[in-house]
Amino acid sequence: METSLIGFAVLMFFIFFRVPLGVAMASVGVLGFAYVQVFEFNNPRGMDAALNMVSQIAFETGLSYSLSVVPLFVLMGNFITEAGLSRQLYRAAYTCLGHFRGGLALSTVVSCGAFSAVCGSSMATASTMAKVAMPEMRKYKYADSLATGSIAAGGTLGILIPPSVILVVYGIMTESDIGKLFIAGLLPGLIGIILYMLAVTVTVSLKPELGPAAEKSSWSERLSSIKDVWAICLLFATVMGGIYLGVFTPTEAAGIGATGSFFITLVRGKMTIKSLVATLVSTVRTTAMLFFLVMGAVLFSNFINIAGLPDALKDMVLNMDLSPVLVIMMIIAIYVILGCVLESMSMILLTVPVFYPMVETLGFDLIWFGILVVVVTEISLITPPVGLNVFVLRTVLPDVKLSTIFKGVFPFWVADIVRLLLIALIPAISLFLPSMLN
Amino acid sequence: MRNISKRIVELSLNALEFLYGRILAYVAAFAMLVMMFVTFVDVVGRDLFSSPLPGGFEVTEFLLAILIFLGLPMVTAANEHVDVDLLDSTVPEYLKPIQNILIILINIMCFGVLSWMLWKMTIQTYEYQDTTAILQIPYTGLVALMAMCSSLSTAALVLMLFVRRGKPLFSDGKNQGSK
Repeated sequence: METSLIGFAVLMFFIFFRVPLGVAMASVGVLGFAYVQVFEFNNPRGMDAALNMVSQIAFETGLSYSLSVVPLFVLMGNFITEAGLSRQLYRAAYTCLGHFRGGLALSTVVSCGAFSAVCGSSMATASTMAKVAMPEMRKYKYADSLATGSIAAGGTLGILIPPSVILVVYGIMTESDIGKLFIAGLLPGLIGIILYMLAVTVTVSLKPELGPAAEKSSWSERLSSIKDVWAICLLFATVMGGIYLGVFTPTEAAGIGATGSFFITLVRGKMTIKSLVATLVSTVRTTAMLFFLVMGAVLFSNFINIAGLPDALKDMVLNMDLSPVLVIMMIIAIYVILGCVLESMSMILLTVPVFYPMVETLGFDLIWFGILVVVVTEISLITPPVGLNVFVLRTVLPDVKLSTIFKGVFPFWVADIVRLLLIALIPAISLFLPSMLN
Repeated sequence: MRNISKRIVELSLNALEFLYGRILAYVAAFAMLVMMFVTFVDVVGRDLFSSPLPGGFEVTEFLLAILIFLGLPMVTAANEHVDVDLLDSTVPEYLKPIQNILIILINIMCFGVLSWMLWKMTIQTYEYQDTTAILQIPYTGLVALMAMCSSLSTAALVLMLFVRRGKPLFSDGKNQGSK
């Protein structure tokens, strides 16, 4: 237990020293593993064991079939972005909602949610939608705070609404069913969209000048804009429906999703050899980066596991006879604090191996816990000082002040807290759909 | 004299950039595309024609490993690995070069160990003639490729230390990958 705490301390030092996270986790993991083997288990060949673990983990992670969903879903998102779909999604939402007060912000939230349904990354969602939604909202004199706030918050939906890279990684670490996790993310994601829309409505009813209404679109405009996005809705329905009905595994669904979006891009005439190569290469880059991170995390969690941290935590909680709800609240609090300094994927990779054995022993459902963790992570994406989505927006929109974005995000942040409480207190929101799964 | 050595460094960096950013990247891109179609054909074949691709999942696994490791040198040379720069503004300017050098030394050690162990694994899989269960694909070539790519990443880091003082290796700022 002490060893793993020292390990954590060293790791934190490395991380804040700006050592790349994967490297930091791998080095501390390997050295810590060797230390425990040699000094606590009296294994004289402990260093060899630790080093052999490196190639073994690299090999196993590299050749892991269930992780192959990650590049496929990343590719799907990249193709869809390439096809210019973000613009059409926005237009479809806009023709239906634009004439309400704050309508453009409502459209932003809805189209972010829709985009999340094909893209598994929050930052990608935020930066893509910013390019589309921001000019429109500026045109109608929306306040920068409301405009950027709705994009940053809407973007966070990317990691909850399936497909989600973070849910895949969580599923692998806790050995939970990735298909079930995806299905479980649907309702909380939908609630997220609704609560964000409420947040917009409340904001503009308090200060109408923040988001004036745009002119009403005709029904023919609406129909034509919806016609542009039906293909993508069909693709999403196939991918999720297939997982839901058990027709295919998540990896197969990802393969279908990626191939489908490849053909959608092709048919729309948005694909050149050059753009195809660029999309593929950028997917490879993201994948290589993610897998390196996952390898480091596996090495590190092997270390804390043999050092006994998860077990010690479990025993401690059982001995102290804490109420399970209190424990969950404490975990949430830890995530909120960690979220202030760590980026989302790293936070999940570092903490989930520590907490999940305890959560499982307390009798909680790991699918529910996964959704809870992702929702907390979403909150951390828009919480100062490290709210990553906010920083992404800053790079896309350099002329907006950071404080303006954080101010605009506040109503959405409140909506997020409400959603977190709902999900924590009513597990059925996450578990109802997966329980229907055959 | 100085100019000549500078020129040589420049040329070899260009060659490396071509290797990492083009050759490796394009092969990885191709692997990505093939992987997409393999999973697709596998499902369609199984569900519609009840004849799945034999050993399809083994091919997927191989392609996954190939594309990850081919991408690694490129990501490493561009300094794109996830890091936390929260405290960066608090580090005094004169300490920054030292910090960069230390970081890169830790990186080199980590990638060096990874390469070394993967080469060792290559020899092992060669001696045992390990193959996959269904298609009997030998593992040796794949592990050698993984070891090779880790070594190339290490090489990129060593060059970054000596030529660029810890800055990204290729200066044209092609940071198109999402972070």
